[in-house]
Amino acid sequence: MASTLKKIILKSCDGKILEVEEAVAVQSQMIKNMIEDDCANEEIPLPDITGEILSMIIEYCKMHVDGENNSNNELIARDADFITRVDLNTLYYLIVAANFLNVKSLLDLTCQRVADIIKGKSPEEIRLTFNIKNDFTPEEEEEIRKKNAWAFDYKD
Amino acid sequence: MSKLPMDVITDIFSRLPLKPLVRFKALSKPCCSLIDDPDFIHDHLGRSVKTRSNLNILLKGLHLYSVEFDSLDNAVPLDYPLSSGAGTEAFGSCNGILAFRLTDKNLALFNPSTRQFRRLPVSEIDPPPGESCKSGYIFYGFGQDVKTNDYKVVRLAKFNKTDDEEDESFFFDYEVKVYSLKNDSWRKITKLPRYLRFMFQFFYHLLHRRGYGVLAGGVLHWVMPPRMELGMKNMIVGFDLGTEEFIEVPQPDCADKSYLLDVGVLEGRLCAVCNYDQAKIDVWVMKEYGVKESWTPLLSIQRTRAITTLAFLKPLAYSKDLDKVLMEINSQKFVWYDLEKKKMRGVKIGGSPGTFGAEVYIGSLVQIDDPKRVQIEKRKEQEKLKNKSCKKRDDFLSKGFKLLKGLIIYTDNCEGLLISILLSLRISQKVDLGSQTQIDM
Repeated sequence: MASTLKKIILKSCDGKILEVEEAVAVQSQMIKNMIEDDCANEEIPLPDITGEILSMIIEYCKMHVDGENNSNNELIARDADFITRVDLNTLYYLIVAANFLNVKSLLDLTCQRVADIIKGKSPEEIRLTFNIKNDFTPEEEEEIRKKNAWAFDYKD
Repeated sequence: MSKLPMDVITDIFSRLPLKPLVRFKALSKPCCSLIDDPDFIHDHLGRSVKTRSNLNILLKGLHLYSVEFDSLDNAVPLDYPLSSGAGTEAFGSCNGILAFRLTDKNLALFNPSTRQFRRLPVSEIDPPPGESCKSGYIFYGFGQDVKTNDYKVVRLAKFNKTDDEEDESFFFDYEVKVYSLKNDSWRKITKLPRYLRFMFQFFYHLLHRRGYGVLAGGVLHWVMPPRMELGMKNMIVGFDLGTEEFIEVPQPDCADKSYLLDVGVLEGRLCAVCNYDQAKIDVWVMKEYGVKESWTPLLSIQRTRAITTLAFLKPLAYSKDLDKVLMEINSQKFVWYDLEKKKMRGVKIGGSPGTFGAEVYIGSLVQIDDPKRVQIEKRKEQEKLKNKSCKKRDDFLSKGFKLLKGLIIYTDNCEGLLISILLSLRISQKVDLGSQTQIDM
């Protein structure tokens, strides 16, 4: 039986080649579409995804395929375990890759993680962490802060 | 994050609670315009509803308090303009907006998540012509007309005859007016059902804030308690916010009809709370709005050692996994009702007043008034009106000239006739214009 399992070949931007079972690969809607259009017979180059990130994504997809018969709570626990091991920098690249490959459940998981991380932070911290340019004039920013002063009392 | 695609940033932001969202308006201009975007506001609200997040309980005592639904730990005084004065009544909530009655002439809308506050224009209560009346009890309600995305306040004012103060007879007159947020004005509803005059019952409506309309399916609901002496049973009176008409709402088909009825709402579905002599209460849910057969029994409770009388019960919300229902009992207690085990468990909330009314409201960014939108809309309206009246005037003038020509040819002395024709033309013109403006609004 093992020989009939179709493998999909993925190539990361740093040249790493990974062979993935079709059942795992189709967790990505993008790859699924390629298979349906019969475009996945050669190796698929992924220009913006490093080997490290790609391995993580495959690990995640495999976890979901293997855990299909597990209870919902078990999957939630595994997801939580997976995502809390990821640092902020990696999280960023995971989101970019999950978005590109269109892995819906991973995108949900990573976006929720970012939301949980940033909800208790100040605008300054978030600008720094995520490299957001402040394009307000000092007066404009002051006006927003003054109008919503209560929302800046966020130590609660 | 600035390199993340916009739809990913939108996704992340739509998962944030309200307070950080308001704070993150200060991040950058693109972030600010995302948070103010009506589509984003709509999606954020949709997600909150779907995931049962950002829910709060409003506690209405002498002052107003808010409790986070997820923690149900302590009641925090609600901070709103004019909150220093006691006695503000919150008579409704919809999509995160609360409707306040500060006094009968001072109504307001307030979004506690953004702290936007707007006073409603005053509309006098006009007694019926020719009668000596004074206004009495006032029913209020607040909700949304989903079709036009307009928020509306409904006011039902009862009149008492002044010459007959002692006589709390059945025959009350009512004045019903609806405020539309879009038009920022009140409109009088003239088509009132005959049964409305039997609606008010002193003890029923004054206790437990039963005079405030319950919103479900785009309709506000009040209960008309039974009047055995007239052979009238419990009735659910509905006011459709879309058509602005009164409707009769079907009731559950229970074998024993000797109950006192209350209405409530659970996740947008109308509930009937049937109280049997303060000893037993059944709660029904109308699964499909307006369909009598869809009334389904939800739960039934009896007196317990801790709750010796069941004077009043109000269902508030389902727990996150739908296995429990939070309820307010006797305006004094919160209990979780376990739907599987069919058991009640009390909930203690620190800082809550001794007696209270409770209401669920969702946190949202829904704007009460967006000044830019209001300005643009007004300008458009005016332009449209101006164009129409210009066109009308042209038509009118050309008609007038044609007539004039004709008259000059066929009549020598026709001043009186001409004037009367022109006058009648002008009158019809006015009527025409009037109806046009109404349609536009």
